[in-house]
Amino acid sequence: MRSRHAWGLVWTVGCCVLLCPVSVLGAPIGVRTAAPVHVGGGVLRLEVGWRYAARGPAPSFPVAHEATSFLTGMWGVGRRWALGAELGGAARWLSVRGPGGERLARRVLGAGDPAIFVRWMLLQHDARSGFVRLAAIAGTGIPLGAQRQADALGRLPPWQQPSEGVWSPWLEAVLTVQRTAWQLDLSGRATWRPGGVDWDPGEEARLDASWQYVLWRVPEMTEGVPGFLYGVLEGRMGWRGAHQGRLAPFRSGGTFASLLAGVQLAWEGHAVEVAARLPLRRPFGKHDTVAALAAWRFDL
Amino acid sequence: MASLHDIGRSWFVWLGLLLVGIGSEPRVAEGQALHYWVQVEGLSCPFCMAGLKKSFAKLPGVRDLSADFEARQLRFAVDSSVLLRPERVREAVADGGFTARALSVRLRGEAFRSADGSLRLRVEAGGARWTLRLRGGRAFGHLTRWVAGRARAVRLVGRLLRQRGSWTLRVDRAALEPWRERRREGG
Repeated sequence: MRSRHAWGLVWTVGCCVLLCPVSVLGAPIGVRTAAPVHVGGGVLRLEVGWRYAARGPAPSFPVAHEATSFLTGMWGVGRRWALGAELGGAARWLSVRGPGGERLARRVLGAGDPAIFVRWMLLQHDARSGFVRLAAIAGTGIPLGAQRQADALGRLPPWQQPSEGVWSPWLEAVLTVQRTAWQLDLSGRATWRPGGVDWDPGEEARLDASWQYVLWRVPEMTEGVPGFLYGVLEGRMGWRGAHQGRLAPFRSGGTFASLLAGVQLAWEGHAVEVAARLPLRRPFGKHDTVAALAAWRFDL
Repeated sequence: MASLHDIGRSWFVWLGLLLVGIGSEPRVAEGQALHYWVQVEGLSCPFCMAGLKKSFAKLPGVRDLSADFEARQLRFAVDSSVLLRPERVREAVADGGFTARALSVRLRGEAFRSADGSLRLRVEAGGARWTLRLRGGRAFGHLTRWVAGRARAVRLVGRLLRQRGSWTLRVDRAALEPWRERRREGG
């Protein structure tokens, strides 16, 4: 049933794409982009989201609600170089099955791991019909977030902590293609998570794609510059290795895929966006997660 | 009851008007600015316009920057006392993350033949005076013949070039159409 809804969504968005070929550039919501950041300035993006897991990664964590927030900044240090940083935080409400089968509520709140990254524009080909840009991104998550959160029932396991507790370097390649009627962002990313004996979270490799098109145009939203309402469709697929170590859950890792649909209103120096992510396939066995997010990005 | 005259004499009213005047952006009146447009490859991003506006704000005398995404053009006005160097515009566009191609300008002045026989345009605006070399394609000969030995008032549109330290305006073919028409009609 859910699969039928997902294909219905793909069909609807596909029709919109074909019917609304307008020559403007949007921005992906959950995918990094090789779109420009002006020299000596930056872009800041604040995201708040909510996630729901119908069944948790282990039988003892059957239901989870999560509120997340991310602040991502990117600064143009040169025409080819940009530096970025990300801060995040999470609050989780878990419904746990106790020893007698009863449900117990658990809660965790704290800062996630900050991340820093650098983007280098490998290729920039601008033409009248659009542009092609290829960028390489290297970054790492830094284990400075909350790793020892506890509630009345004791300390939570490491995979439920806001911080993963390990460095997580990643390499990413981003291709942005913009043509008269559409824009496509493609990203491939590999993340390593070298952990310790008790807790070694799994590595991850993933592919993202984002497609943006215009639904509605405001002729002059700010002086001399129009505004645009975009429809955004994104897909994600990848693989995550199983967590290892004494503190790892008994079942984890596997392939995952999801679909994100959203809208974005962009005008001079600002963009606001709302989106929902639907799982098509998740790691951790039958751990299903839906997510909704809202974000605001602005030029500094 | 205070009359309008009394109100007008109140110092705070005048101060308020002064502050409003200071706060508002001075608009360039018609004829006091040169109108430019630059072809920007890949220009299609309303969000990115904030960065481009910041880059262009560093150029002298630039105002009223607007974007035409369909034509991939940035349009702007510049105080008539400034003739903008194309390379500075190219750098401003590059700092904004895009690639500039041609910088075009609309100029009004006197066309005349110089001693070496080439056609020149004398522009006087905003207390400044420039002389540009004029170039063009095949239809350019119609303008050259029309100017002949006299100085003629003309309004031209073309690509602004800086070549070997001197200014050149490569006149657009469409801008030469009136002289071609005149030639056809035997004028």
